[in-house]
Amino acid sequence: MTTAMQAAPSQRFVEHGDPVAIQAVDLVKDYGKGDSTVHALRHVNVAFEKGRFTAIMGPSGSGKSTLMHTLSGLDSVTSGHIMFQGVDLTTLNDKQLTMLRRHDIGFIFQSFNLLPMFTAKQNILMPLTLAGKKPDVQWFDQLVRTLGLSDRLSHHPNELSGGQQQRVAIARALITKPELVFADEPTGALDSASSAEVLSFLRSSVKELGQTIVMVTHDPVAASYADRAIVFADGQIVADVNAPTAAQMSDLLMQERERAARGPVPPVPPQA
Amino acid sequence: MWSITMQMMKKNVRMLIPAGIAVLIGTAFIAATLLFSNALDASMTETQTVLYGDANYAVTPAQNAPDSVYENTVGDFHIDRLEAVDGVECARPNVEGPITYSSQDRHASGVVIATSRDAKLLPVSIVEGRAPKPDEPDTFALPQRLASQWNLKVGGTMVVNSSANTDEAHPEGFAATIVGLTDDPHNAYGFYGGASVASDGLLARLSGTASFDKMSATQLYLSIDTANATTLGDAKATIIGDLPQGFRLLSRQQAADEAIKKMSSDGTDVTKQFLLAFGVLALVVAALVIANTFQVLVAQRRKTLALLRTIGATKRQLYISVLEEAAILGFVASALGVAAGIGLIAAVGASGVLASASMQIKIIIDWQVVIVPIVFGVLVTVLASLGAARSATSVTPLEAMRPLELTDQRKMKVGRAVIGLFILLMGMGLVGFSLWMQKDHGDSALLAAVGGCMFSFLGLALTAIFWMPWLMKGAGALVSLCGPSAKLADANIQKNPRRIAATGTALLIGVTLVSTIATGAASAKATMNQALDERYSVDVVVQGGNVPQQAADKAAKVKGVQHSLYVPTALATYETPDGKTMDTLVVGVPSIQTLQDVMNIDLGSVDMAPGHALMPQYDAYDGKRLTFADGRVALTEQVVDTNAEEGRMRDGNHADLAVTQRDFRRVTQTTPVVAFVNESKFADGTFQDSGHMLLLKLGGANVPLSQTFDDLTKVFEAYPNVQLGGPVAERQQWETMVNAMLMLLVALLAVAVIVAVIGVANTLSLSVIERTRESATLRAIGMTRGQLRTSLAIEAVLISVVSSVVGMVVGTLFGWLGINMVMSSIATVVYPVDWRTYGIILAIAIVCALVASVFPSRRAAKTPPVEALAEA
Ligand SMILES: Nc1ncnc2c1ncn2[C@@H]1O[C@H](COP(=O)(O)OP(=O)(O)O)[C@@H](O)[C@H]1O
Ligand SMILES: [Mg+2]
Repeated sequence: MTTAMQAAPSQRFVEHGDPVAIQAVDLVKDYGKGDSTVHALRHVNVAFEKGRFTAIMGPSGSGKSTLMHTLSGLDSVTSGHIMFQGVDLTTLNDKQLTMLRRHDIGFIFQSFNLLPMFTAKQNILMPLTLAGKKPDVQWFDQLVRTLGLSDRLSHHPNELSGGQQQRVAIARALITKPELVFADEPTGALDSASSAEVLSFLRSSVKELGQTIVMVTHDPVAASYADRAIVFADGQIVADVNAPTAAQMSDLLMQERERAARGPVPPVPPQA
Repeated sequence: MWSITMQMMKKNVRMLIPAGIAVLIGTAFIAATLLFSNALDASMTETQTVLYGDANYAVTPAQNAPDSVYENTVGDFHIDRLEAVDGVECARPNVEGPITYSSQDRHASGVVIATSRDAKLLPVSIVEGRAPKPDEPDTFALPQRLASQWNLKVGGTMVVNSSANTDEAHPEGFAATIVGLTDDPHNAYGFYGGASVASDGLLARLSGTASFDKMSATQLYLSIDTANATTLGDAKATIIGDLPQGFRLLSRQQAADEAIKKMSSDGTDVTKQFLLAFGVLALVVAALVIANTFQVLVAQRRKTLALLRTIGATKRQLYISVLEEAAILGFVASALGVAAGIGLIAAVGASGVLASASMQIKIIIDWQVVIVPIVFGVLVTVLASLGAARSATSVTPLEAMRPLELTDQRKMKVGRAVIGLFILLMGMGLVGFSLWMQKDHGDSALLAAVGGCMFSFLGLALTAIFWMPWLMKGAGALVSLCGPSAKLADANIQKNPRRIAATGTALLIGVTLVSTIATGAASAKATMNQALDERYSVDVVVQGGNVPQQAADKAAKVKGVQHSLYVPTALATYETPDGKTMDTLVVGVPSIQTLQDVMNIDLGSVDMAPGHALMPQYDAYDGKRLTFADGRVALTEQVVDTNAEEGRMRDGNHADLAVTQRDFRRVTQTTPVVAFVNESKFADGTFQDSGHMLLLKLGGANVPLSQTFDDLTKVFEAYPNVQLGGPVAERQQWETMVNAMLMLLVALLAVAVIVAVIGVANTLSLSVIERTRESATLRAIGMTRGQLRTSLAIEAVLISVVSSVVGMVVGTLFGWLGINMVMSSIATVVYPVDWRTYGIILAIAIVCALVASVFPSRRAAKTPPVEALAEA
């Protein structure tokens, strides 16, 4: 690991003075017990700043999804802490976590996960429906307009294309104006044109609406839309890049794959 | 393919459990019914031959024997000659008589039977001492229980007598020697608390017959040695040759079989078929549960099936595979059902709940008990899975490449709608026809009505897929205003109209039947009540002699007496417009209100001023209408003529009164007519009270009518001439009967309802399994566990309430129709709406729905939201 890479996050952090949206401290997640234990996260320390678009990359099985699930309170951790809004998420119960997801965290899934029995509009408003809250009409209109969904609102998911479905899912994730949005391979099921559309929107929602987005992706091109990219391998962060480009990320991923082919990763280096 | 079927089945075994339970319940019920009727048969065979003792042959009247056989006497059997036949061991005529025992001022009565040379032919057993010998003078064996109560010992003597004793030399009875004690292990004389066995002479004297040979006997039991076939044949031939005219020889088995056959045709078989019908009903409901399960299974396996098709499986193989799976499920569930049925009957037998009915439950397993339920179970399961099998064949190999979409988007079949609608209309037409026909052709109208109901219901069930989701949409739209959980529940119901319709139909069947029966019973009760109110206008009438004031006051205070009216009566006559003289009882009442209080019919406004009389519309004896010229009646009092011979009456005072007529009946049995007049007519001497009567209205207090009636009987015990009468007892008997029938039917229908509730649980769990991803997504975007659970509970309640309400409406209409058919010729039919029962049904439906949603919703709530993100 290069010093440049290690210095990068803290440097940017200081430079911009962006407050931290969510932070993982010494996060460990093991699956299974005994010999068959899988160390999905090995003492991960990372912070995501507010108002930025961060991509998490890495080979399949490296722990990207696990990191996202634990950060969002969907999954428990083996040890470590997650600081969000001044609270350690690992100490909250199911109800508190649910409320957190309802109000402060948004999700975008690879396979959209829209509810087939509801219309696009009902799907978008679902988090508010669950909370029993009235939608902010202006915000709703703005989202729908920006996402180009105005004439699709009364359609059911099976009447929408993949790109449209994902845009509905994005609107659903943003309708509560969450503090933080997690997206797990949001373009994984889309063709390149739809991908570009979705990614542009994600970026503009960060730039123009001030959202904070953490996105897991396989695709170096997708990562290039982000302000920052973290590369994961075998449950650890192996690289942290600012303003990534597609070529740069391709190289990094290639290196990781080669290293994985050579043998297991050396013991955990101490994080800065 | 077989191994693939097994593999797929293994993977989804959890989903098959509710369907399996549904089949299990149905088949267990059928197995239990068959076992029960076997036990019933056995117990009857036993009762039939219980008098045989150890005899293996019996001489009984032939089936078409002349009446002369009933004049047959013991002597006519020539027992000596029969016993002398080679191979015949001994014989005993079935003769019994009354007996009363007396010992130191204690008396008891019972039955005494003839003895035999060999005690093994006795239907009772000798537990101490010996059996009396036929030719001994005055010996007997008495029931052990009596002996121990009265402390009597073998060897002692005792005076026995009977009501039939005609021996003028011994009117006080006969001193007889106790030679043994009897017990009645087979309950042959349970009704009498056992039986005594007496020597021939004593039995004849107790029966008031000159000699034992002269006693009448139509049955003779024989013990014949069966070891040697030739001697047996010879013996039988000899006996048959020596039998009196009209008698025949039967083996014990033959006699039992014959008795059972006779009884079956008028009893057990009907019971068996009646019970089996409920088992079949439960299986029909189970079929709906099975059909749902297999539809979902096939839907879930579409990808696997498509894959199999791409690699070369034929449509036929997929079709067979589904049917195989159904057959396996049906077989396993039915086999378990048979075991459960056997266990159930064994448990009932062991618990001895039927001991009070003096019935022993013997487990008799014949091939039918095992085979019939299994055949039914497998057949129903396979038939129910046909639809799913067909949809398995419609899976195209291409689907293997496409993403999975589980929602049932197939178009509803127009053909089904047309056929369903046609049947429905035909059913309703038949119902209309039956109503139109009813006046002239009661029987065929009833048949048409039953057919009409069946067709209507079938039509409703077939078209359920159209109207039920529509109704649920309406109900759902209402509840979805209640919050996000309800909204989600509504949306989920709408997503799967086919499955919801099948689930709802299962419940609909159960609820419709329950409400039909409840309505029928309530309607029958109300109709009968009204008829009884008309026919018996007063609950209890105390009359005869002069009912004393003191007793009347006491009676008024008996618990359960609501109102009482103690009134003076007199006898009078009047002339009818056509010149006949009518006897009437004149009753003086203080006011119309006090009379109304004890009357069951509404008298309306009646003038009871001194110049008026209230009289019935019909003659209580011949039912003819009573008419009065100008609405007036001229009563002539009848008083006892003290100068003439005893009992003669003479005319007394006259009264000319204005008559109001009302339809009250049976106030008194002594005269055809009653006239209620103002009591001032007695006070001013127009009528002299020749007696008093007491009219009572029961109710109000929370005591059973029977007890009130008993208490009243006690009050009047001391007055021998006073008669206590009224329709209360009759009415109560009727009500008890209807209630018991209702309870029984509802209990039997409960089997079908339980299966339907399992169906609701099944549908929910299938949906929950299917919706794992949706549930997880909802959890991820902020739905709480509680909301998810609530949503499923609302879904269940919606399905069950909508189906139940429809079931209750349809059932009520059927019930009304039925009662109209059966009762309208007897009485004015009443169409009650039994809100209480409806409330109970609805409450049960809701509770069941909530219970049904417990497991599925627990499962749904346990789904970790992470699963929403995991890719399939
Ligand atoms: N529920 C689970 N049970 C056991 N192991 C799991 C589970 N989820 C993930 N893993 C393992 O944890 C590691 C990280 O998985 P994941 O975070 O999904 O990787 P990525 O998203 O980077 O492909 C993998 O080795 C995976 O096999
Ligand atoms: Mg992943």
